[in-house]
Amino acid sequence: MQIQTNNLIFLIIGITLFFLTVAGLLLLYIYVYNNKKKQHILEKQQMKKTFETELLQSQLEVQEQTRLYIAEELHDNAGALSSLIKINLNLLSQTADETKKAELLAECKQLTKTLIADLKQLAIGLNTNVIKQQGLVSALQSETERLEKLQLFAVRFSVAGEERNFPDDKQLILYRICQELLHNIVKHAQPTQVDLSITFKNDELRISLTDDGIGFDTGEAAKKIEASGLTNLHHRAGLIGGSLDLDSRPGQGTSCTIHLPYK
Amino acid sequence: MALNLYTENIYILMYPVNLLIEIICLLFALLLLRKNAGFWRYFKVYMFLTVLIETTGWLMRFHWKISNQWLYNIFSPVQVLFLYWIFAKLYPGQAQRKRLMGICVLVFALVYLFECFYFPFTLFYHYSWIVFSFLIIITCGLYYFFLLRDEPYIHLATDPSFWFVTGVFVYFFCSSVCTLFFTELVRINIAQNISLRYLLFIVFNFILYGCWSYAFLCRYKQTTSSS
Repeated sequence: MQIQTNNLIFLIIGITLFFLTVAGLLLLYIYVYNNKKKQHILEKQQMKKTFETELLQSQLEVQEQTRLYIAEELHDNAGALSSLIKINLNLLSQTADETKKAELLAECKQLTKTLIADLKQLAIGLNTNVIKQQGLVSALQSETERLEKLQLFAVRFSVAGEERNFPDDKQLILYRICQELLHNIVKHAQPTQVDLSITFKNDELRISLTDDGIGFDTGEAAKKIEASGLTNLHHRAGLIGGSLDLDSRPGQGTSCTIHLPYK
Repeated sequence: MALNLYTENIYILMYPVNLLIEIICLLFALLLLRKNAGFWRYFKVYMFLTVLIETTGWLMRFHWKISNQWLYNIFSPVQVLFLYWIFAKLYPGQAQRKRLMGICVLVFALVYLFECFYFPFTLFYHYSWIVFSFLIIITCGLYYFFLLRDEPYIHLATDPSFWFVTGVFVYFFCSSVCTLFFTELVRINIAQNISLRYLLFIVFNFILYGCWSYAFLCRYKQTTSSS
C-alpha cells in the first residue's frame, strides 16, 4: 500500500514535470518563432528601404534622361527653328525688295508659330501634372500626336479593354518608359510606321510599341546593354512590378511590350 | 519514504508559503503600478483581494477548523471576470477577440449557475473551475497565436502582457495535473498525510506570481521610460 502510494506520488510529480516541460518547450518555440518574425520584419524593412533607394535612383535616372531629352528637343527642333528664324530675319534686314520682305516676314511668323507650338507640346510632354490629370492613355495619345506632327513616320494609336486607373507614380514611370522608347524610335529606328497599342486585359495592362524600322541585333545590344539604356528600361518596369519584352532583328523592325499586372 | 515526514504542521506552514508569494506579488503591484500604468493598476485591487481571501481561507481551515470552500466559490467568479477583463484589454480595438472573451465568461457563468442549482454552496464548484481552466488555457493559446501571427513585433522579454499570459498559462496548464489526479491526490493525503496538491501549488503559484511580478516590473519600466 505504502509502495503503491509512493509510486503514485512519483507518477504525479513526473507528470507535473512533464507538463512543465511541455509548457517550457512551447514558450521556447514562441520565443524562437518571435525572433524569426523579428528577422523577417527587419528583412522586409531592409527590402523596402532598398526598393525606395532603387526607386529614387530610377527617378534620378529619369530626370537625367529627361534633361537629355529636353536638350535634344531644344537643339533639334527649337534650335533649328530659331536658326531659321534668325537667317530669315538677317535676310529681311539685307533685302530691299518689298515682296521678298513680305514673304520672309510671313515665313518668320509661320516658323515662330511652329516654334511656339513645339515648345508648348514639349512642355505638355514634360509636365508631370498633365500626366496625372490626363491619365496615362490620354498623355500617350498626346505624345503620339506630337510625333505625328513631325511627319517623320505615321503613328497608329489604339486602346482596347476597359480603362483602369493606376497610382500616379506607376503612371509616370510607364509614361516615361514609353516616351523613351518613342524617342529611341525617332533617333535610331528610321521607321515609316509606328504602332502604339494599349490593352487593358483582365489581369494586366499591356502596352505594345511596334515599328517597321531598321531594327537591331538584340544579342549584340545585350553585350552593350549597360550603355544602351535598355537595362534601365527593364529595371524601371521591374520597379513598378511589371516587365518589358523586346524583340528585334536587323531589317525587321522592333517590337516592345510592357506588361503590368494589376496586383 | 522520506515523504512520510510531512505532518499537519507542515501543511499549516505551506499555506503561508503561498500567501507569502502572493504578498510579494501584491507588494510588487503596489510599488510598481502607478496611476499611469493604465488597466494594470487594477492588479493592486485584485492582488489585495487574493491575499485577503487566501488569508481568510487559511485561518478558516487551520485555526477556526471550518470549511473554506464557499469562500472560494465566491471568489472564483471575481477571478474569472478579472482575468478575462485583462485579456480583453490586451486586444485594444479588436471587437471580435473581445467577443470571444465574453463567450468564455458566459460559458463559465452557465456552468457556475448550474452548479449553484445542483450542489450545495459549501462544496467547491469543481466543474466550473475545470471549465474555466480549460477555457483560459485555450485563451492563452489564442493569445500566443495572435502574438506570432500579427504584424507588429513584440520584444517578449520586456512585454508585460506576455509575462501576464505566460504566468496564467503555466499555472492553469500544469495545475490541470491536479485536476486530472484529484481523487488520487485525496487518496495520498488520507493514506500518508501528504498534501502533494499544496506542494505542487506552491510551485505553480511561484511561477504565476513570479511572472506577474515581472510583468509589473516591465510595465513600470514602460511607464517610466515613456513619461
